[in-house]
Amino acid sequence: MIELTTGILIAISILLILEPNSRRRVFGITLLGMALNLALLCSGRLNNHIPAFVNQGTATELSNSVPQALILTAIVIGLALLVVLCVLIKLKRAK
Amino acid sequence: MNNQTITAILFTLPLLAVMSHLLLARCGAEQLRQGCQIVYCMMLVVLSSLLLRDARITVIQVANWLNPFGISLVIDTLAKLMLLIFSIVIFAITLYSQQDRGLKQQSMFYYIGQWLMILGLIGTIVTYDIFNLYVWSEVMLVSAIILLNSGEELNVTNIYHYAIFNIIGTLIMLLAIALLYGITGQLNFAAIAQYSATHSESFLILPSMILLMIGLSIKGGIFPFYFWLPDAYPSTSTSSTLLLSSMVTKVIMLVMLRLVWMWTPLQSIHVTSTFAIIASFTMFFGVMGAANQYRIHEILSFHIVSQLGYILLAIFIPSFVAITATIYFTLHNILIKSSLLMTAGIVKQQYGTDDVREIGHILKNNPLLSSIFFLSAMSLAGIPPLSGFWGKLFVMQAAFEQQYYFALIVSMVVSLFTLYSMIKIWRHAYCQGSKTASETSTTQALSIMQMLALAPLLILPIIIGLYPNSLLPLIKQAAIELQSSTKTLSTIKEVS
Repeated sequence: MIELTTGILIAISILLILEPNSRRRVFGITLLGMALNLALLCSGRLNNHIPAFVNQGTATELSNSVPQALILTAIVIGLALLVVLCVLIKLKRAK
Repeated sequence: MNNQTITAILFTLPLLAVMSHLLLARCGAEQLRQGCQIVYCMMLVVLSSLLLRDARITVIQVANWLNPFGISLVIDTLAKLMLLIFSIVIFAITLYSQQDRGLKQQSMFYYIGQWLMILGLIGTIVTYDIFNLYVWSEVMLVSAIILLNSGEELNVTNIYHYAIFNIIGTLIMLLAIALLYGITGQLNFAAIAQYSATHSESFLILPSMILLMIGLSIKGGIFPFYFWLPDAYPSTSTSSTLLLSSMVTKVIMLVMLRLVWMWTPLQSIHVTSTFAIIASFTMFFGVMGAANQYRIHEILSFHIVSQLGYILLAIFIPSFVAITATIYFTLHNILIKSSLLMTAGIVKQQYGTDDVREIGHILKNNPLLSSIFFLSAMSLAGIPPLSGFWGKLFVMQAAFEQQYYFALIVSMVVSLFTLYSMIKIWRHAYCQGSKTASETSTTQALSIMQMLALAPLLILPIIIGLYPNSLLPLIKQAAIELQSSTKTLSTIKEVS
């Protein structure tokens, strides 16, 4: 289910990237970044059956922490790129 | 001091440099700031040459996390060689940028961009982890965007297109990384190689690897994704163009070299022949684009694309000669491209424009600059006995031995057109005069700083051109280490 959503989001974002309007293009790139975070979620086999951390007591199984770290890094980098792109659009419009 | 300590210092040096630039600019100590800049660059050269003392492959696990949860940094001979050449070029560029009036005055963009780019560069060279590769190439991308803003005239459209193209390339890389991690469960280069060697039934590994190669090609300026390069690179100050052209695209080619020789699905005949054709098109279209331009910076930016085609061709030829050809050509190209861009920057600064139809008689006014340009241009075109001849000879020899005849013929034709571009610049700007340029113009000679900057970029290619055997033992050792990548995996400690 998540995989299908990821695919549809990637398709939507590619359609947005092909727009001539620069704001829509940046929106498409950001959406592509978020869709790829979902792709990392799928490929790391993260789901809602295995806990990521437990508050008290012990758990027999904890989910893989590496894809969680990858997704976190990718979100932060995507945010930084969004900021850079917004600054570039602002400069472009100011000309 | 062992290689681990040196690598740790190498990673902190750029951050230290950024901090000291910001602090000293706030205090207003300009001389101290420029002095610190030179000191940091010298430290970079010293540390890179200290790395070469130890001939073993150094494997560092970041923060002592073992595989498969940790990140491995591997410093093999290729990494040490590349770090040394890059640090020499950075030192030369720093000396040049002291005199570059094209840089925005009182602007911190150039210095911060330079040091962040060096940080991304060091990370990309030594990393052995696909996600870490993505992170460091992002650092290089953001710092490149900062560097592109450091020119006198800001051309935002070119920077915007650069950003869009490169971010799309990055996102394609991220998709490939997600797919590779999903299939193999590993992030380490060597671990993925082992997985693909033992599990040959997973048919999705090769498409994911090709997707990663495509993402790297978009960031590296390969046909048909190179269109951001000739627009963005000339539109900024020459110092930024120097940093970008010698660092970003070359290091991505080196990463592709590492990946191709480590991952055996990428060495199949379909992949290599396809990429050989792509490389031929890159060479051809790069040089065709240059034939149409009349401004020196734009001609040289198109030639960057064309020379990347040579490197890509040598990467995907499956032989030992081809690896040595790749490394030699990359080293020669970094040095020669930097010296050509420096002479173009000096010309632009002295004459106000770099349009060859409007300037003239440089040979009469400034014979030193003309001879420097002539040596570098003939080296780029591949005239013996300079370094470009050996580079192109090795690439063509590797192509001939493995029967890549189409690419061989294209590379010969492209050499001819490269020579045409260089002769165009030489004839219009240096030998002849133009209607607008006067016979005797008041141009000053090269300053000491500019001569010091150009010196290593000329002496090194002349040495490796007249005596290529000086560099070949190191290159051959790097090639041997690249071919036997399973040895590196055994030195990486694993969680039991």
